[in-house]
Amino acid sequence: VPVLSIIVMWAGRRGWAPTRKTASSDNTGAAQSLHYSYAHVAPWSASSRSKPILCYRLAKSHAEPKFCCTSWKPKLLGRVTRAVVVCHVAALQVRGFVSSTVQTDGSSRSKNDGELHELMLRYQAADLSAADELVRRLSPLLFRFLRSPQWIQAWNEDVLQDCWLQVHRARHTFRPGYPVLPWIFAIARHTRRDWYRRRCRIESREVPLQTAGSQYGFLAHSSTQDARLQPLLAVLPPSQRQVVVMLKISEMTLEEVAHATSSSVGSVKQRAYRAYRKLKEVFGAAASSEQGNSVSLADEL
Amino acid sequence: MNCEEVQAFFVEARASDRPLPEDILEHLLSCERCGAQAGVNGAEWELPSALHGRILGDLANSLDPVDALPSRTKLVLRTAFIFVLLPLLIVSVLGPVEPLLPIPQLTCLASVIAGSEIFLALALVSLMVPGCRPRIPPKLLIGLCILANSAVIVMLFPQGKTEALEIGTRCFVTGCLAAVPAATLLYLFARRGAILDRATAGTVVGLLAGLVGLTVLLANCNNLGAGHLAVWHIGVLLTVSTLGLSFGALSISRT
Repeated sequence: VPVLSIIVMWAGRRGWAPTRKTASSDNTGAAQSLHYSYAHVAPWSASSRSKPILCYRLAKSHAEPKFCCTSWKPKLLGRVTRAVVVCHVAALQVRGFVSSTVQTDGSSRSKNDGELHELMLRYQAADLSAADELVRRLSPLLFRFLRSPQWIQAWNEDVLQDCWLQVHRARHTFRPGYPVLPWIFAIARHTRRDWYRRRCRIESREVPLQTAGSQYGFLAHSSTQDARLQPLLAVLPPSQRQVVVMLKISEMTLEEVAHATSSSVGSVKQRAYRAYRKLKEVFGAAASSEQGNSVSLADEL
Repeated sequence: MNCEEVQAFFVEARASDRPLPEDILEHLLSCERCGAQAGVNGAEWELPSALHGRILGDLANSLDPVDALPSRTKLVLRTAFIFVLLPLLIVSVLGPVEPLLPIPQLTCLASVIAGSEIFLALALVSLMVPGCRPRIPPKLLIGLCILANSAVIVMLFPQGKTEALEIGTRCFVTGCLAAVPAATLLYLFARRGAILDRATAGTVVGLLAGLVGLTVLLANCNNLGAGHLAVWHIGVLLTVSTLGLSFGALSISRT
C-alpha cells in the first residue's frame, strides 16, 4: 500500500494525474478517458476493487460544467479521491491482515493440546493442581528442548526452572483459543537464548574455581573441615565471625579485611580481639567438661 | 560418523517427518551421550522430585488469578488513543503554526503516518504475546515504514533550499520532545505483555513515538522544503527509534 500510494503521488506530481486532463462535455467519455489515464499511470487501479469508486468519483467531479480542469476544485477533488482510494485499500489490507492472523477457535487442536489448553486456563485461574500437572507433563519436553551438551546437568535444570518462572510471569499473555505449545516454546526459546548470553558473559568475566583456589587458601579447605568449623564459629555474631574467617581461614591481611568490610584497620582489630575473647570464654568453659576436637580447633584459631 | 557430525546434522536439520538416516540412527543407538540427547536410546528424562518441588514452590509463591490479555484488535485500538489524543493535546498546547501544510500534502503524509502506525501497532501487539507470529516480520516493517515516510516526503514536496540550522533544530527538538510522552505511554502499554525480543520491541516503540512526533510536526511546521522534512522530520523518527533500540539492547544485556 505505501508503495502504490507513492506511485500515485509521484504520478500526481509529474502531471499525469487525471485531474490535469482536459474534460470533455460528455461525462461518460470524460470518466473513461480519466480512468484510462489513471490506469495508465497506475495499472493496479484497473483491476482492483477501487475501480468503481474511482470512476464514480471522477465522473461526478466532471459532471458539472463549472468544474473545469484549470479550477482548483477538480485538482483537490482528484487528490482527495486518490487519498480515499489509498485509505480504502489500506483498510482492506489491515482487515485482511488482522483476520488472517487471528485464530478462530480450538477446533483444529489435537486432543493433547486441548487438555493442555484446559490446564492452562485453570493455571491462569490460580489452580495449583493444574500448574503441577502442566509442570509434570511439559517439563520433559522443555528439558529436551532446553538442554545443551556444553552445560552441566545442574545448569540444564536451572534453565528449566528459569523457563518455568518466565512462563509463570507471562501466563496472562496466553489467550483462550490459542494453542499452548507454540506459546510455551516461544518462551523457552528465548529463555535458552538469554541463558546462553548469560553463560557467555559469566565465562568471559569469571575465573574458574580451580584457578582461584590456588590463589586463595580458603577455597582449598576441605568440606569436612568447613563442616567442623561452622558450628564452632556459630557462637560469634556475624560481624566478628566474618572478620575471623577472613583473617584466620582466608589468611587475608588486616588491610585487606578492612577494605573488604568497608571499615578501618582499628575496627577490624577490635572485632578480632572480641571474637578471640569470646571464643576463649566459650571453649575454655567447655574444655573443663570435655576434651575434644573442638577445643583443639579453638586453640588453633 | 562421529559425535560432532551428528551434532552438526541436528543443528542444520529442520523439523520433518522423514526418518533419520541410517548412519545417524546407528550412531545414536551406539553413543550414550548423543542418544540421550536425541532421546532415542530409551534414556527418558524424568523430572527429579527436588527440581519439581523447587519449580512448584516458585510458582506457588505468586500464584494469583490473572486476566488474559484482550484481543489484538482491542489492544491496537488502545494504542490508537495514543496516536490521536496525544498529538492533539500537544498541538493544542504548542498551538498550530499558520499557514499549515497544503491540504493534499497534509492528507497524504498523514495517511502514510497513520498506516505506519497501524501496522507498527499490530507488530508491537504481536511482540507482546509469545508465539504470536505477525504476517509481516517486524524488522522488515520497521524498514518499510521509515522508507515509506521518507519516500513520500521526498516525492511529495518540492526541493527547497537548505534551511537555517536553527529552524531545523527547532523542529527536531519539538518532535523529540513530543515523542517522549508517547514513548513513555507506549512503554507502559508494552509492559502489559511479555516482551521476548526486546531490541525489536524497543525499536518499534521508538518508531511509534517518532511517528507521534512527526504528527505533531505536521501541525507545528509550515516548511515545505523536502530537504528540511527529510533531514529534520525524518531525523526525529530515526533518532527516537535508535534510542528505542538502544534501550531494548541495554535491557537485554542487564538480564
